[in-house]
Amino acid sequence: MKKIFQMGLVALVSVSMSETVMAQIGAPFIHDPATIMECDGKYYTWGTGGSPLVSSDGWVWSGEGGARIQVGAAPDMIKIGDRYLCAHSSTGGGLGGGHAGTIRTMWNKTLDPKSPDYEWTEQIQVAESLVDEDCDAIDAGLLLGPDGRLWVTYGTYFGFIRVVELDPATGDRAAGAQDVNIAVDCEATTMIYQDGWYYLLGTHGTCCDGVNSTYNIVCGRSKSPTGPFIDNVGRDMIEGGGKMVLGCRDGYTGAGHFGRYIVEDGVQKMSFHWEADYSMSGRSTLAILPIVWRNGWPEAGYNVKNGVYEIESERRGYALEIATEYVRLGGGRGMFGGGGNQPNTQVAFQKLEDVIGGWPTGNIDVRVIDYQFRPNQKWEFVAQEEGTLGTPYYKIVIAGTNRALAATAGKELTTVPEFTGAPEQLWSVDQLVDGTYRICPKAVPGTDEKVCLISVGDSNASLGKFDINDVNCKWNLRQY
Amino acid sequence: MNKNLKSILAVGMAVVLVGCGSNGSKIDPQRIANRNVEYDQYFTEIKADAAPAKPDEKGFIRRWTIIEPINKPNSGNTVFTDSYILKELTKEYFKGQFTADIKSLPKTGDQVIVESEAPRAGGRGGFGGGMMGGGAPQGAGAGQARPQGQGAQAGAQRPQGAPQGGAPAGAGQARPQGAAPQGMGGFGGFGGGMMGGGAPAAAAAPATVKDTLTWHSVDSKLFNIKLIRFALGSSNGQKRYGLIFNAFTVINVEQDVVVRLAAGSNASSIWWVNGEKVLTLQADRRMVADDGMSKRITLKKGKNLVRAAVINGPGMSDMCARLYNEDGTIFKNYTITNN
Repeated sequence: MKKIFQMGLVALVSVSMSETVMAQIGAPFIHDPATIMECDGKYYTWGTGGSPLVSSDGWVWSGEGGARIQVGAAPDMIKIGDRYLCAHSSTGGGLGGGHAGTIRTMWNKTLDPKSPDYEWTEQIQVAESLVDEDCDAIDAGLLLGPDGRLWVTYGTYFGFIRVVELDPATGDRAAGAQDVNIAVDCEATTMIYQDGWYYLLGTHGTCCDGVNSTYNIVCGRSKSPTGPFIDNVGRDMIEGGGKMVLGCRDGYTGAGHFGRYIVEDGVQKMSFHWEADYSMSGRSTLAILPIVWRNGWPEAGYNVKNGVYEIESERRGYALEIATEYVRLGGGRGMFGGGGNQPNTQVAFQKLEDVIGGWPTGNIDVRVIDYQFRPNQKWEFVAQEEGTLGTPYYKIVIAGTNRALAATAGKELTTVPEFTGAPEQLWSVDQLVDGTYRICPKAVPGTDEKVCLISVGDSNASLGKFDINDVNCKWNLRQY
Repeated sequence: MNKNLKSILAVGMAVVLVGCGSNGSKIDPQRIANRNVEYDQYFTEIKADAAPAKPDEKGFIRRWTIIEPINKPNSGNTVFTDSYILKELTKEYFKGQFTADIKSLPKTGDQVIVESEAPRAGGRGGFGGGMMGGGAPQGAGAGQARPQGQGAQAGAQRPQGAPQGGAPAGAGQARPQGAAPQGMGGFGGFGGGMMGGGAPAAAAAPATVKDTLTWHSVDSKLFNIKLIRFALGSSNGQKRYGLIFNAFTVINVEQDVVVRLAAGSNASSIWWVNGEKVLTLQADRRMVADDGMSKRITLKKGKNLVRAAVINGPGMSDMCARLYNEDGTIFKNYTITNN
């Protein structure tokens, strides 16, 4: 009975920790989050009604430190120069009501309500829909294109999604701009630009139905910001097309209201809301996940769940291990299937207790070598309650021990026998745009330089500057 | 974001907007000059003996014969489970509704009397104007009557007992009472399932009304058949939401051919070919081209009857359909008639 109880407790803790890694923590309650903005070291977003969420690290969010902004539905935000432009909407009715919506814009020099510069400019109406036309001018999404032209998309399920050009200097409509129909049956649209393509992202499915919501984020792409936006099967979004970016994941239903945050070259995040977070009473919560680009299409990536992984170098495919004595395994039939016609038996895996007694008790270096699922090659990732934008910090220890991967002075690596929570023992793990992972220490003793885990040669590891184009900076996390 | 939710928020936010320095909701007339939603912008009514049509460039079938919609009030669209739509979309409201006999198909202008649920009282009665500073312009909105004289007898008279006051289901309507399943969404904020999901209202037998409904043969000017515009236009703006649509078209092929029927609808729909149910699109869904596709169907040389039934609560309602060859290419080698 006691054993069953313990197993249950372990399972419960495991589930809890796993969920922690999937979503923002704190009090991240929001619906229709604006694209996340950074201002003076803090991250901000606002939802429908203008309620704010603020985070000092990008992982723990709450309403503290932000100010409600006077907006209607579903604001979006973009930074242009040294100012922040907010686009938001007001709606004329409900699902069964009228469709006279308006899109307005306004500026602010800062998002910090305590700043003396904090003041929103007078709002400018830039688009609208009539009470019964085939459009519903709400849910604004902003894009500053590579050519410096500013666009806002808007609309919802009632008819067309439209795009119109704005003046990036004023936030008003560009001179002579015309509204163009670019999609149907979406909500919460926005555009992003990537590798020569404009991507229109929108939300399909049923909104606002809690755990039964089917909200999901889809996209199409075009060479022009005015479309046509075509999906992965050649279907125009004006015919309802759209390739799935993210729908539902265990414990979370209804992904909606996409926004992109480019951390740096090769590291992109998507902000959105879950309609229902099962671990938070089914409430709607802010979520941030990595963006992975596969065959020219964006997909929601994955934060690393708590668990045991091989850390495989993208460079050679070897595995990170602690440099301990290689202990050969007994058993097995050896070469060429010797042993005649005897029945097959299970060869025992090498266990931690088989080898740990031979390991040094102090710091142990790391190296990179063939993976053989040996105890010195199995790393356990455990999320901590602080993090960076969209991901927690992890302690990374040899599974079954508290021996932790750590950065050392001189930008090298070691493992320490006991995890203490020191900054050099905390690691951010970001999935990159190509699906591989970047592993960075929170801090390196003696330097403020930002570095990540890198391969040096095939068989060694160190810390060095991140470059998305450098295969040495990338790792795969494998579970078997 | 769903507008039902937004309308709830709107009540509070309208106050905020008034005092937030907004420049109001004045709409530039230049920007809205060509945003009419008159019936004839969507449909051309055709005669019973109109020359055959072809599928459009992308293969969409634009010629349909549609009967004016039947009332089926629902305050939300999440009730459209498999069993619900099977029950409601196969319910016979009038004799011959589901006939597979092409010779007995109705002609444009034919009328039937249908008894259906009365639209529910309450709601906003259609379009109550902007709640959040949206500022509906005067003169726009409901009541886009189909131009007089189009069609045969169609729309010449308002049916007795026709609902007054527009939409049967309005913003701000509460979730149907009773029978909400467990886990409908937690507490507070936006967690609470706000679209009238769960079970349909468990109430006494609804009141009924009798409508005289007219068949209209139309060519759609869009690839998709904007059923909401058909409803508004054929009912002088009286029917908008909470409706069942029944439509058919006749596909004429020169020889037997194996195809698939691809369709999309807002919201749920059932599709039949020559009397056989070939496709069901269940649940609260938007119209997506090729959303669903049937198993292989053999169209027989000559006339083949394609029938569709679509149900929707509040919001946009439309449908689209085309045919595919077995090899995945679009099949266009046929003509389309209304008989």
